[in-house]
Amino acid sequence: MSENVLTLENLTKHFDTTTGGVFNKVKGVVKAVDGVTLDVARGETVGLVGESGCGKTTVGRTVLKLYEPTSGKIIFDGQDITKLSRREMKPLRSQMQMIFQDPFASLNPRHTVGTIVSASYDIHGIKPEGGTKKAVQELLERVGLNPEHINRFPHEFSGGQRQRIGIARALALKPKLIVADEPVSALDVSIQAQVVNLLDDLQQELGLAYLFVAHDLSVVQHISDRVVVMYLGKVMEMADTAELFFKPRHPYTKALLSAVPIPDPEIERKRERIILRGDLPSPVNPPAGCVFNTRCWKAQDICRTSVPALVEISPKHTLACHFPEPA
Amino acid sequence: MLKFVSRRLAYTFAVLVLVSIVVFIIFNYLPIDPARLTCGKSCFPALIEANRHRLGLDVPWWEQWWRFIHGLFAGRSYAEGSAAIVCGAPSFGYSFNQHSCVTSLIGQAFPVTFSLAIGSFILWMIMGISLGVLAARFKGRMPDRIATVFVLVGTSLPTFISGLLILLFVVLKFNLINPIEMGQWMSPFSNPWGYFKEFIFPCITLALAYAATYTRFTRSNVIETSSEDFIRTAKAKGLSSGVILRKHTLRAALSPILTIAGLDFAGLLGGAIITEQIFNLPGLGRLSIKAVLTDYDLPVILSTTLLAAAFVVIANLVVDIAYAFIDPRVRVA
Amino acid sequence: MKPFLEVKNLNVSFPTEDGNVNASQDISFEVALGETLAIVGESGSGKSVSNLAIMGLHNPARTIISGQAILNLESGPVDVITAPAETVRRLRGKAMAMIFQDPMSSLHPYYSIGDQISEAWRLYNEGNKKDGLKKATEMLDLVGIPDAGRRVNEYPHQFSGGMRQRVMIAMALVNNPQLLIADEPTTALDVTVQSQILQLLRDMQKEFNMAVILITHDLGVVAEVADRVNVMYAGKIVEQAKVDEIYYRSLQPYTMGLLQSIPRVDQLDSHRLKTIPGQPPSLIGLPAGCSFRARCEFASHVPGNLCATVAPALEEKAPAHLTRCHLTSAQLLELNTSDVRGSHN
Repeated sequence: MSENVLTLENLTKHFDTTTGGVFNKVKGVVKAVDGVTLDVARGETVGLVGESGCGKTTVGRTVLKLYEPTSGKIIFDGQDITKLSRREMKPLRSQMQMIFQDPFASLNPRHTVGTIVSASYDIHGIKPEGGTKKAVQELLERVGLNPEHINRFPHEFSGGQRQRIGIARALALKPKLIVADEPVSALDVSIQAQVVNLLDDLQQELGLAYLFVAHDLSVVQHISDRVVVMYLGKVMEMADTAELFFKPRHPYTKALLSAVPIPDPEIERKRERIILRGDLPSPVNPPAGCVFNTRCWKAQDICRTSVPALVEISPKHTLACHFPEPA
Repeated sequence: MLKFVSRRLAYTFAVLVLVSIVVFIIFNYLPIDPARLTCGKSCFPALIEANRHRLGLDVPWWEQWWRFIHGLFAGRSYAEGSAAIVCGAPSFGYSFNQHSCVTSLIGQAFPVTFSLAIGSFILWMIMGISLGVLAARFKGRMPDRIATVFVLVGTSLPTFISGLLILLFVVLKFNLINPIEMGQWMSPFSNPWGYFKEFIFPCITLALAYAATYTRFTRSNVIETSSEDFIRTAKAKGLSSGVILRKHTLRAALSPILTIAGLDFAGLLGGAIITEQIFNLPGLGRLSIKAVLTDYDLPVILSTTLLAAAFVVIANLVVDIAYAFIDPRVRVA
Repeated sequence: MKPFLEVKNLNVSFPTEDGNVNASQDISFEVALGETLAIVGESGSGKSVSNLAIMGLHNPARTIISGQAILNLESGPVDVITAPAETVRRLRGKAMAMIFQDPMSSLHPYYSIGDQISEAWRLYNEGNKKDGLKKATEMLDLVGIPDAGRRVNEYPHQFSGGMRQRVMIAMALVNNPQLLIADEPTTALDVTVQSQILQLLRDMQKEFNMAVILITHDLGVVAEVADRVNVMYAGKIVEQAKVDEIYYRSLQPYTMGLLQSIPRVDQLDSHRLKTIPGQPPSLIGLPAGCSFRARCEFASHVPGNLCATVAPALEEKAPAHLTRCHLTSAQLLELNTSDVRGSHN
C-alpha cells in the first residue's frame, strides 16, 4: 500500500474552443490544466487555490475522471487510473467522492434525503449492515442532521444543511479521498464555520484525505496541511501551509496573500498591499515564458521568454519562479 | 461583419441546393407516374412516352434537377419546332395542366400571398407586441386579464373557424364586399380601396392566430427582462420608467421575438392555404393545394415547395444578420 | 452640520401568501460626507433591502415601506421615503448612486459602455451625444481603465469582471453624487481584483467627498474600508459603532460569534473554529423576544425569561456604541474579553 492516496504526474487537460455551427472547427485550445504534479497523502488535506480560471476546479474534476485527462498520469491508491474506462472506474468510484459548491443545484429536488444518500449503495450494489435505512440515518446523524428527516426533500433544508446532505452522500461508501470543490463558498459566514469543523471532524474520525479546492485563502489556510497555488493552469508554488502562508517565495503567492482582507482594522491600516496590475490574461492565449509575467512587478526579460521550472527549493517546498522572494 | 455575412450567404446557398435535391429525389420516388396523368382515358403507351419526353421525365432525377437549375438561370424550352414552348429565365418549368409557364403562375399568385403575409404580419406585430407589453406592465391587473382571454381565444380558435366567422358574420352580413369581386386580384395602385377591402379581413383572420402567440411571448419576455440586473441599473441611473421600457427593456425583450417573427413571415410567404381558401384568394397556397389535390401538377408542386423552402432559408439569413446588428455579442462570435 | 443621510425607523416588508416578510425593521443610521459606513450581515439579514428602499428601487406594488430617509441636500432636506416618486427619481443617479454585486449582469448587453455612461450623464447635463462620449472617456480614464478612448466604444461582454465593476463605478460617479451605495461590489470578483476595486472606491471617495455605504458579508472587507459599521441580523441593526469598537470592544453576542467563527489568513490556528450554532430565523412571523436568542450562548446570563419575551432595543451602551442586548455593557465587555482570550490560546 502506498503512502499517497493520490498522485498526479504532469497532469494536463486541454479544452478545444470551437467555432460552432455546422462545421464546428477547432479555433483554439484552452490549457485549463498544464502540467500539474502533486500528491495527497492518506488522511491529509491539500488545498488548491488560485483565482477563477486558474484550473483548480478542472484539476478536481479530472482527478475523478469526470474529464478525460489530455496527458499525464493520475495514480489513485497505487493504481494508475489515467487510462481506465468508465466501467473499469466503477469499483474505484466508491473510494473517491466529490462535494460540490452549490448545495442547491447538486441535490435532485424530487428525491428525498434518504434516496439521495442511499443512491450510492444502489449504484454499487452494496447492502450495508443493518439495512440501508439504518445506515442512512447513521450518516445523517454523523453529519449533524436529524435522522428522522430521512423522508424530507432538499428544499425543506437550509443551505448549510443541504451541504451536510451532500457530505453524507459522499461519505456513504467510506471513500479514501474526497474532492471538495468550493464546499463552503456559497454558505453564510456563521454556517461556513460549522461545515469546516464537520469536515475536520470527519477527517480525524475516518482518516479521509481531502483535495480542497477553494478561492477563500483564509478557509484553505485553516483546513489544509499543504497548499498548492495555481495560476493559468500551472502550479506556481506548493508547500506546507505554515510555510506557504508565512514564508511565501513566489511573487504571485505573496500578492494573493496580501490581497486577502484581514478582519482586524488596526492590521488593515498598517498593511502594505501589493496591488497587481490588470486582469488575468486569457487562458486561450497565455503569456509566453512565465505565465505570471504580465502582472508581476519583478518580471525581467527572461520571464517573458523562458518558462521557470518547478523545483524543490527546500524540503516539501516547490516553486516555479526565476526571481523568488528572499526566504 | 463582412466575413460573417459572406459565410452565412454561402451557408444559405448550400442549404437551398440541398433542399432542391431532396425535393427532386422525393418526387422521383413517388408511386405515381406524372406522364400517365397527362392524357385522359384515351391514353396509349406511345402517347404517354411522347409526353414523358416532352415533360423531360425520361431522364434520371439528377438530370431533371440539373435542367431545372439551368432553366432557373437560362430559361427553358419544351418540345421542338412549331410546337415549342419557351419559358424565359427564371424558369420554374411548364405546367401542362394549366398550359402556362410556372413562373407566370407564380407571378400571378405571389402578389396575393405577399399582400396577405405583409398585411397580417404588420397587424399581428402591432397587436401582439402592444398587448403583450401592456399585459406585462399591468401584470395581474385588468389589461393583463384581457390579454389572457385574448391569448386563450386566439390560440384555441383555428383559422378555418375564425375565418369563416369573419366571412359570414362580418363581410357577407354587412355586405362589405361584393361576393362576385371576391377572389379577383385588385391592384393596390389602380384600386387601393378595393385592394384594402379585399385583404383586410383575411389579414385580420391570420393575424388573430399569430397575435395571440406573440402577446404571450412578448408578455413573458418583458416580465423576464424587467427583473434583469441591468434594468435595475437603469432605474438607479434615474431614467424615467418610459425610457427604461423603450430603450432598455424592449430592446432586450423583443430581439428574440424578431427571430420567430422572421420565420413566421417567411412561412406565410409560401402561402396561407386555409385563409386563401376561405376568402377565395388566388395566392400561392391555393396554387399549390390545387396542384396537389386536383391536377397533380408536378412542376407547380415542385416550384412552390422550393419557393417556400427558399423563403424560410432566406428569412433565416436576414434574421441572423439583423440579430448581429442588435446584439453585439453575436457580432464578435 | 447635519450628516448627509439620516435614516430614521425605516421598515421594509414584503407581503406574501404566508404572511409579511419583515425584511428590514426599525433601521436608523446616519452617514456623513467623506465617511464610509459598512453594513455587514448574512444573507437575509436585510442589509440590501433598506438601501434599495432609500434608492427607491423596490416595486411599490409589492413592498410596504415606512419611516424616513432624509437626504440633506444643499437645496434643503428631502425625505426620499415620502417624497413623490418623480422627485426621488431625479435624485437617483444625481444625489445618490448605487453599484451592485454582479457587474456581469448589471450592464445592458446591447449598448456600448460609452452609450451607457453617456446616457447617465446626459440625463442631468446639457450636451449632445459627442459630449457624452467625451465625458464617458474621461470617467473611464479616472477609474483606471487603460486605453479608455478605444474601450469606450466596446460592449460589456468585451470587459473582464473587474473592468465591468470599474465601468459601473464610472457610471455611478458621472454626475458627482454625494451618496454612493455599494452593494457587495467585490463579492463576485477574485481577491486580487477585489483589492483593486476597494482601493478605487477609497480614491473616488476622496476625490468626490462622498458618503459611502458599503454592504458586505465579508468582515475582512469591512475592516479594510469602514469608518463605522452596522451589524445586521434577522432584519434589524444589532450593533452600530466605529469600526475599532466593533472589532475590539464588541457589545453584541452575534458580532462576537461572527468574528470568532472566521478563520484568519494571518494567524495559524489549526484548532477548531468557534461556531454559532443553528441558523438564522425565518423573517415571516418572527417570535417575540430577541431574534438571536436561540443561537446566543450568553442568553443564560440574562435573568428571568427576558430574552424570550422582550425584544431588546438598540441602546447606547458605550459612547457612540449602540447594541441590541439585554446584558449590561459591563457584562458584555467581560464576556467579550474572556472570549477573545479563549480563542487566541
